Amino acid sequence: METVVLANFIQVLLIIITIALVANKNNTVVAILFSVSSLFLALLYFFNKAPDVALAEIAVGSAIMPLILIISISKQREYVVITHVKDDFVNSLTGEGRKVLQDFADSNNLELKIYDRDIDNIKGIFRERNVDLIIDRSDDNKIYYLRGKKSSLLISKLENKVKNLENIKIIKEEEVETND
Amino acid sequence: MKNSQILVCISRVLFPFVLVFGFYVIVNGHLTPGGGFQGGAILATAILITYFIIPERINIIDGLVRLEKHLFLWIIVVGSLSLITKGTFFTNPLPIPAAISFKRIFLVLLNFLIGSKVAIGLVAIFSSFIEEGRS
Repeated sequence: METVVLANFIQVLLIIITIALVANKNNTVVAILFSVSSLFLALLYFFNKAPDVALAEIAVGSAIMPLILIISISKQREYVVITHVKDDFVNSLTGEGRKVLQDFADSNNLELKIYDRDIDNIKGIFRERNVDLIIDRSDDNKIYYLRGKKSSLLISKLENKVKNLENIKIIKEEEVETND
Repeated sequence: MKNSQILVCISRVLFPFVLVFGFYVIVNGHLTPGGGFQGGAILATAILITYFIIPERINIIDGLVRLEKHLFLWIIVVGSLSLITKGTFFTNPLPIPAAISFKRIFLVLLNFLIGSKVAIGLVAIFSSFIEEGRS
């Protein structure tokens, strides 16, 4: 009898948590709420005499799924820049481009990461889509080209920011369909 | 990336206990709820959380990924043992009137292999996901 009352209470609690999960906009809170909801779900499985399913639910639902969410949130915060320019433009902390990019990343709550090597040397399976910005320089005049994807929202924000700087030019590229 | 001291400390304390619990679920899989998949997922969680917080501590990821391919072969070999004695795949190769304590060796062995396979497979997937974009 007491188990039935407890199970009904957990069901009502689970409905409330799930509504909060759907209505919430903050990603980190969603990861924690997902973990809590699957913990209560595992308790319900246990009351309904399926301890085996409950153990799998705890392992997958409340440990591995929030881990995926947290890893993807920490990936989302990175702004990856690849530079082919060897001078002080972005490589030193006081360079002009470095200041602009750092300011841009800070104002959008991103973490700036600058690599001075080629795209092929970065680890990963989806390495083509992971790069946000590529820096090049024209040989004759001192214009720096920043190449980014056209569909990205950040690139239009960056273009708006460097509108009145003369030696920086933004090139928007169409996204290429890959065969994989 | 620098992590907070609380996370590092708690993950260090928790790591051996979660490992022992995972092995317990795998080895007692034929008696209690749980088994290969559940215990393997718990083991993978222990390794992955430590790898996410302190990447220097887990330095055998490459070896683990190589081990996974060998484990697949071993599951097939253990499963096809019964082809010789009884003529079908994935049943107990030992004769039916034998003692239960003798017959459960097959279950423990297969649970252990499947648990290791699940744990290392999840570690392989998520470590490549964590390393994505790092140089």
